[in-house]
Amino acid sequence: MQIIDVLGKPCPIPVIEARKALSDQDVETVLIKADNMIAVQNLERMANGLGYSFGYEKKSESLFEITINKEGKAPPPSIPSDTLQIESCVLPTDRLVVVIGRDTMGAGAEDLGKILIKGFIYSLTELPIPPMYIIFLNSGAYLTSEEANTIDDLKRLEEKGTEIYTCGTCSNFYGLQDKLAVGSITDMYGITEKMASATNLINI
Amino acid sequence: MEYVITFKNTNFAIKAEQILLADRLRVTVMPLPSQIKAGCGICLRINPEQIGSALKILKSNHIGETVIYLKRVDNNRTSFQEIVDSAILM
Repeated sequence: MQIIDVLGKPCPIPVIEARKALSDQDVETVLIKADNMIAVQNLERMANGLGYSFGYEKKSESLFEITINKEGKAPPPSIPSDTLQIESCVLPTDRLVVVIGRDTMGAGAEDLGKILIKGFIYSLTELPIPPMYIIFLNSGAYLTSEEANTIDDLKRLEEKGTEIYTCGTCSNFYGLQDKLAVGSITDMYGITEKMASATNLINI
Repeated sequence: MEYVITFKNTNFAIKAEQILLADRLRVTVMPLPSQIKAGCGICLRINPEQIGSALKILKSNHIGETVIYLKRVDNNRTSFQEIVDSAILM
């Protein structure tokens, strides 16, 4: 069982941290220590969305222990309906995966496409809930290499909880294998698995 | 804290990015924030140490009619303050 302490952390960090822990195949159960009811509600919605079982215990006014288990279906809502009120932020019940298969965006002038894709990557940093994964393949591999001016924005996404992957075959093809500046290398099995896990997929 | 450079049109924005990158300046791209009404849909971000050099390079390459803003983030709120006389940055 993995224990996550999100005491004092604002929404949506409790959900992002829990989601990150649960994405590890070896983790069955996650115990989250949170200090507010909003976090409990958000975690319950996330667990329900994923089909995981959910339970919580109120230890004190500022300590809630939430257990999410991958086994079994979610039980009936354990939160009294009168406390289901304020929603302080959007919930990441969707698993957004962004696949960037080239270093341009849209069809037409290449110079324009190259600047548009950079603007798009910046825009991802401003989403209320960042993507779960961003996968770069084919000439998209240039955007994660050390000479790209997209690295700072991609690092900001990593800080927000996004996992960034670049296709190893592609970076090898373009001679970029020693120049990866953000995230890690993956293969086609990893790419396919991550794409298949998406509830929303943006394919550029 | 960083500076944002807006342009008269998209072609100038594209050209400016290429020129500044070729001069090894750390310039990054951003879609024009909704708070800013001037310029085209793409703007460039650059750190305070390099804004002076960037403006000189743009001037010598005849990329005019730029408007410079100071971008700040306080308590997760982003604000853009127009630099009325950008010559002081050069």
